[in-house]
Amino acid sequence: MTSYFRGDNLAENVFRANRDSIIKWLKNLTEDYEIWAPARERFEILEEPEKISLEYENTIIPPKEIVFPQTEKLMEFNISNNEVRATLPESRKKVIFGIRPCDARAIRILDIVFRGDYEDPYYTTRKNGTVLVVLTCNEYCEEGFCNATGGSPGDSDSADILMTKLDDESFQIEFLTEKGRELGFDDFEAAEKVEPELPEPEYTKNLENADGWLSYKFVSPEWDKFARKCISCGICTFLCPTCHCFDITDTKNRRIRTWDSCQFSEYTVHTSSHNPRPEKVHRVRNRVLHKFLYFKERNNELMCVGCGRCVRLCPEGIDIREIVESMED
Amino acid sequence: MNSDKKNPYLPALARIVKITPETEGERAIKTFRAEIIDENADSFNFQPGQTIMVSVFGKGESMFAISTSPTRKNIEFSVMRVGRVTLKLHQLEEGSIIGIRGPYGRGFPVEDWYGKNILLIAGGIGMAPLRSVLHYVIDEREKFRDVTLIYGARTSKDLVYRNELETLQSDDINVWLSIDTEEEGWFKVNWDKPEETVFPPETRHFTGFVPMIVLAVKPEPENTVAIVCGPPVMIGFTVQNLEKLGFGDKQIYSTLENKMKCGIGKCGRCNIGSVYVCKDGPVFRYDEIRKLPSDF
Ligand SMILES: Cc1cc2nc3c(=O)[nH]c(=O)nc-3n(C[C@H](O)[C@H](O)[C@H](O)COP(=O)(O)OP(=O)(O)OC[C@H]3O[C@@H](n4cnc5c(N)ncnc54)[C@H](O)[C@@H]3O)c2cc1C
Ligand code: SF4
Ligand code: SF4
Ligand code: FES
Repeated sequence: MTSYFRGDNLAENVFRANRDSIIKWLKNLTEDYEIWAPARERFEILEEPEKISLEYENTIIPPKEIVFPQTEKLMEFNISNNEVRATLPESRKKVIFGIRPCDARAIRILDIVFRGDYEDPYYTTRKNGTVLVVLTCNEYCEEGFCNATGGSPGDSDSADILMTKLDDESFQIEFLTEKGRELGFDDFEAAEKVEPELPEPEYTKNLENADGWLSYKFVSPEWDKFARKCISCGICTFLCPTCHCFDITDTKNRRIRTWDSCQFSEYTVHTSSHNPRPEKVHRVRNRVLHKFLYFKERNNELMCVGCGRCVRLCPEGIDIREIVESMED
Repeated sequence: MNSDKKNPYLPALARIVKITPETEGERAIKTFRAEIIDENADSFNFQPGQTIMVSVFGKGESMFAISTSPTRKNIEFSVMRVGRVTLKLHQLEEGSIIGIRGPYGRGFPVEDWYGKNILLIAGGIGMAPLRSVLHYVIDEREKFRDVTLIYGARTSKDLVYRNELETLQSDDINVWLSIDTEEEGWFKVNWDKPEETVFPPETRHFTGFVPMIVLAVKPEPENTVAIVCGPPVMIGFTVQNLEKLGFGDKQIYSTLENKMKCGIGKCGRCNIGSVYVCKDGPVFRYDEIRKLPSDF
């Protein structure tokens, strides 16, 4: 399939396409791949390529659920026969089509969590072989601040294929990895690479080194100012593309895992009723520090990609950027 | 199934081969000995202080300290009955099948302690993780100098492993047991000034809280490591008193307990700052504990 390419020189893996040829491409791909594309509020399996949206506002529910679903069965058991069977998901070749740069980066962060020692086979079965077709952003989304966390609206770092809308008629399509090149398509025209202009960010502060000042702020009166308003609904964590906490529970004959949230007091409470994080202020602090300090201490990377969801969707208007900023002396 | 073997969530099937009731009452404690019977399971090797995730299929999973030493070649754990999984465990009989995954976490660095005096201090169910060190030390007795155990519970009936601990003197181990409320034959420490307690040399049983007993018997800090396990309050006061006796942070070890689900650093809930107790603990040296933020 790599015959469409003239060499390894990246510039020669650049193509130009219009909407019609993209739809044709997608139709072609459906034969071999399960294609996930943005629908109204989440990514869904693409049934009608004609209806593909190429300029959507980012989905409310992040595409992390494609590789880490909200609920999944881990195993089944038959207690009377002492049978326990892992229920790994079916391994399918997938394309996540039109994922935004921030969400693609978030999937790389999930990779760090679920691989490493104790590789998680549920995650890796879903994730392995998944091709990320990233659609760059021509404008900053409301409250988006990828630029402040080391990303950008045109970030290609986590992309297998990068799509950029050049004008109403055409898209630039760059095949960046071997996995991506396998999706090459005859109808695309080879083209000179253009560097599209990036939009101007509204938020200009850089939070990449916030760990520097946050490491002294575990105890600070600022936390309570923000936490006071929080209603512990958990939206900021459930809808965050990098949040990965989960619960494991049994029903009579199966064990399931479900997303969980550090914003709930049940999350940490012991049977003895002792709770390490009994108050909202402890839990809000844990979320912010996990994103901007703890994860970086362990993995040398921020756990916030600046997608802005937690800011846009918090019913109380709590803004993680403001919290982080307010801690700086 | 080959891929199953590498699934860290999939427990090995194990049979309960022995159940020993330890204490009674609302929060009764039983000790379970289990044998892995799963053909697909890797061999089970562990360090004193490591933990296992025990499954009662259909009820859930719970984390327990392995309460014996690898030198004994079997798996034991002691369970206090407090909730869903532990209640069901208490209802099981010998021969029942459970699941075990692990061992998890960082255990006690027992090999670093060769040639030292060992001071074991426990309260309540905290004796379970300490018993792994105790068994190790008994089995490798010549590698250690003086060994002392101070262990307390609410009443004499709440002491776990009571019969076993009463015979330790013959293994050349100093044992002091204590209870919180007065009973006959249990020597009461000086309540206001425990360090001034005068007791007959043959005394083995005290009435008094564990931190008081520490002051009463005054273990020597020199070339000694102290390992303290039990309820957080007891650990706090005990460490204070050890410091009064001249122990430094780096001579003191303890275990932390945060709620756990995965045991492998993924589900998130056991974190204290950037530390995951399941993976990086549960054993910590006290200077490490002092550096942690107060989320425990
Ligand atoms: C490192 C470690 C070592 C432990 N060692 C022992 C031991 O040797 N003996 C013993 O009796 N108990 C021990 N515990 C505590 C034991 O895990 C809990 O008492 C037990 O999980 C309660 O489960 P349950 O289903 O009966 O209670 P429920 O209230 O029904 O608990 C529901 C679930 O919450 C979680 N949970 C609740 N409390 C705790 C807790 N304190 N720690 C961890 N998870 C919790 C468990 O996943 C549990 O299944 C240890 C805990 C940890 C973290
Ligand atoms: S913390 Fe907020 S802005 Fe950052 S990745 Fe999560 S949801 Fe997006
Ligand atoms: S979305 Fe807002 S109100 Fe809800 S838990 Fe998060 S910070 Fe609190
Ligand atoms: S128990 Fe899941 S991260 Fe520690």
